[in-house]
Amino acid sequence: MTVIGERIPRSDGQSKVSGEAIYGVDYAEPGMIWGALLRSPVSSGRITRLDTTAAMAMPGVHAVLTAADAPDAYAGWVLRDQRLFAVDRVHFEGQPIAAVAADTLAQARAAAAAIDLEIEPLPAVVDLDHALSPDAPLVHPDWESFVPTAGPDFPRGGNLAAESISDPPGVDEAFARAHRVISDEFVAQRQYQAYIEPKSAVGIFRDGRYTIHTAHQFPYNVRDRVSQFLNVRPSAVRVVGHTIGGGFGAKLDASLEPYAALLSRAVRGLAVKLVNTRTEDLITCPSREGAITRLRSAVDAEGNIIARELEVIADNGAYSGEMPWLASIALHCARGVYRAGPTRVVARLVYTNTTPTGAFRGVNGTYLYHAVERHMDHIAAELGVDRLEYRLRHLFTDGEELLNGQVLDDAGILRQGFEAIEAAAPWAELQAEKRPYRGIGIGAAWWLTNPSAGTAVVKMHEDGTVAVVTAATDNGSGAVSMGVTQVVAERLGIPPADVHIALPDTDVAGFDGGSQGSRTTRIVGKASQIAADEVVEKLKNVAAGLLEAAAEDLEVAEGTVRVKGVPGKSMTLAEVAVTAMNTVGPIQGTGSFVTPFPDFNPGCATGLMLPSFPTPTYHVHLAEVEVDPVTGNVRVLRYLVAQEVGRVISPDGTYGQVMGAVTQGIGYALHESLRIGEDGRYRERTLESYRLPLAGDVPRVEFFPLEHPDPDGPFGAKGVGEGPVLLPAAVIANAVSDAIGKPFNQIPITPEEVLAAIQS
Amino acid sequence: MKPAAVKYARAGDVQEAVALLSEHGTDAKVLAGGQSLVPLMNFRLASPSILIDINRVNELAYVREDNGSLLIGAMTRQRDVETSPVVAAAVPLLPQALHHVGHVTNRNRGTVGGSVAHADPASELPALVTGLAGELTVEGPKGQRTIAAEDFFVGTFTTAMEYDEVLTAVRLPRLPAGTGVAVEELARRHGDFAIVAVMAAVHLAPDGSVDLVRLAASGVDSVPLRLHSAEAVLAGAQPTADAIAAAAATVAASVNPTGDVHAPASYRRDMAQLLVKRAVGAAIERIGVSA
Repeated sequence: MTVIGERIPRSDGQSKVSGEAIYGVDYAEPGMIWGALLRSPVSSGRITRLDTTAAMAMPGVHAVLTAADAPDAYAGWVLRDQRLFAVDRVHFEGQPIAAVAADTLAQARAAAAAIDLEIEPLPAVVDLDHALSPDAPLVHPDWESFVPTAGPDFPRGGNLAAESISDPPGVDEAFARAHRVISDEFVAQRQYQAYIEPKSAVGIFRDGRYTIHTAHQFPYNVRDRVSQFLNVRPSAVRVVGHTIGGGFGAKLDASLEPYAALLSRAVRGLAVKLVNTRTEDLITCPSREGAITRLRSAVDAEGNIIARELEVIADNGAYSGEMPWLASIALHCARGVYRAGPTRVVARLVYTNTTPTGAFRGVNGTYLYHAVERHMDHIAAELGVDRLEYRLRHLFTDGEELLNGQVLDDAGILRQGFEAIEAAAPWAELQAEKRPYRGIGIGAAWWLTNPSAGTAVVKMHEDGTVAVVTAATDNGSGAVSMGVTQVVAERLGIPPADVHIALPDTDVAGFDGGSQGSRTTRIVGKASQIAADEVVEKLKNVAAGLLEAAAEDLEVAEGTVRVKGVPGKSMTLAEVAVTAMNTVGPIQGTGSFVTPFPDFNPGCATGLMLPSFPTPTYHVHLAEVEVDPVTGNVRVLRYLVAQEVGRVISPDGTYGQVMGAVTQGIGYALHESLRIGEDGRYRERTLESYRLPLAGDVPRVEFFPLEHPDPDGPFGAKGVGEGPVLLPAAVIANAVSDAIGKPFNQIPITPEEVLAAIQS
Repeated sequence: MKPAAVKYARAGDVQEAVALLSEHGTDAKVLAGGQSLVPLMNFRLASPSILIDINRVNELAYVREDNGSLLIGAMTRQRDVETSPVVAAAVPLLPQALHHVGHVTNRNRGTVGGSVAHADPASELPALVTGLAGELTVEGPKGQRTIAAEDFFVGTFTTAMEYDEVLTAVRLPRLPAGTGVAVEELARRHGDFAIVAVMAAVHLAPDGSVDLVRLAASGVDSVPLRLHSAEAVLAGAQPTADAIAAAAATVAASVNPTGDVHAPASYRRDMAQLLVKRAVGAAIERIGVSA
């Protein structure tokens, strides 16, 4: 009996549904008091007055901290460009200027509001093109003093926060002999991760160390960031994770945690809790970055793409976070999944006086694939050829060598994806049945599974159940509550209900690369499988004496250790585990895993910080939309996904990720507007105007998993969660453009723009 | 989010509510269903010093026919009105409009009087009351008075009521049997505040000409609007596509929208015009079909 590929109840399902689960915002410590932040009301300015005297005298107030009370330290995931509190200058709306601790949350907020603050406004850098012009003011005049967090410095300077350029030979020559050149410009807005649970943190300073309780995707990263901000070694910080109410990348870097820690120290070790209001959360969240993408393709007389140029300018916001590391993703997505000859790729990340951007499911990929797939439709239209046929003609095949030298051995899976979509929604029929104001869009992508290291300890209890100790987190995907659970249960031949996986604690569990990049089921699943293998070997060795058989003749299955092929000759795991207490001691196993980066050509580009895409997966999406010609509203009628998944471990988890990612992608394409005014402040500031799609706005996704088990993955698994968010904006924009007969090259597509296009 | 600290008083009847309002002055707010007021307080957009709760004033919860019109007590829950056969027979436009007010859970608690007194120019009930030439009965220290809907709404969230007056009843003229009604609304998602809504009631004479037409729009001005010019084009005319288009063409001059975070002014103006076309067309299609 196998549990791989079977539907199982998620281990955290009942507590989440019943309300018993303790999320980060619910967590409380004995004697806990409350914190609040004073945040900058403007996006650029000079602090001319900051007086905390009145706030300190407010009722219930224990401490009021400013930059003067914090270590003189710079912190950052990739570049140490950020301080805990604004010093003299503010660089984005929402930037913390002071922190308060008081008996109640209301008192803390009232005291924060009572801090006497005056700011002389300065011009804000907002426009991405202008940010790079010589006359633009510098967001950080002291940019040269910033130090990379690890390794050598990378290409950057002034408002240019990072740059990755690939300039292979032959591009200009191909453009010179091109039959025609097709150019496009695409603009994408930001997207807020909009998880249900706002950010929170509880900090405790005790015995000279900091303990932080937080619902976080990447506890070890919080440890590192807090240690940087507070200028202590990483081991002086302990991070304890709690149930997460969604993250989608926004909870990968520290946020409120270092403030909670510093406030606790200031109040002599009382636990201090901070929690964002929804507006605070929205305006300070490291949202998906806005970007401008410009594409040019050289096409020969036969319609082949013989060269391409891609330029992308992405909005870093005021501080870098993870962003510089991601700039080279443009190189990996510049051609999508289609041959396009030598390709020049220029990716620039620019500082602006806006909230720092960061990771959001499908980092950088959503708008890059939108650009590439819209551009493919444009080229096919210019050539007068069918869009699908044109894609298939240029589609990557097995052994495709990419711009960075990486070779895709199995890219032929892409064609299987197109075939799976074709079987469910035959292209010719869709074209023939097309009605006015309806449109169809198709597109394809490839993506990585995040390779970062993970580790797990599997320990056998004397009752035959196991505990898994890991710093991996289940951000709601089911990767831990189903995926890793199933992997361990399968390996040990026990029911998934007998596998208990602890919440993360950096004092207890080894390093984990966090809930990001679809990595948890694959990396932590693999580490847990290796750990379970060790448990299996130990169980066999203990049982061998008891069963009077050689260890190699034993197998661990169905809750027993038994002699292969001899029915009745078996012992329960509990019996073996109890026996071990008197012979070899408690049974546990340890496993660690990391995926190496695939081979690449280091000379292919400058600023190549994410050099290649490990554990690639392949994706084909199709959308059918209907446009209301009176209101301009777009409705998605049908949505199909064919996706390479390695192997489905949990069907509910897999489908849930696909359905959820497509929903998020539909929101990105059509609903979620996050505009920045000329003053650098967000215009949408609550979930009333920042509109997430509702159930009625989203069709049930038709999903076709493609299984090609990966020999390195646990039971063949690859990553699942990120990939399906890459293409909805692309295929929906293609479908709306098809419906109206006019190009839609901006994300999101608003009813006003659709109506204007119809009326023009 | 949580509201600022606020005092609370419960009124047992209308007179007590009026007395409490007189006592506490302009910083007091009447709490009816609380579906608009409480969120505004939570966002700190409203910070009354005291709430005067009239939820126990049971005498204000009723629906009845009265002398050829429909009389609705101010504290009648919207959901009760929406599902009332008396309402469906007398003013079939009303249940249709209520269907667009928030979600069912909001309407279970929200009241007709609360929504009208709140005077949000984007919401449905003020527009309906205005379009159907309804009357509002209010009670204050000097007794009762009746205000025509078009005089009642004077600005965004502002009515002609004095600070010490309570809205007690909404009177709507009964629509003749066979009137076709329609609500056309543009919201980004179901249950969102409408960007623009248009309501239409149309009755045809035996010769097919329009002998009664009522048109109202919300979200297009600081007050809900009755679209008199559009009504005038249709009144007495055969309801041809051209006539409907001509009526809709007057709308741009009748409305005065402002742009906000939800939609620019020009889009609201375009939508008002297009929704009038849709609503009149839909109302005529439904003539003789019971709601």
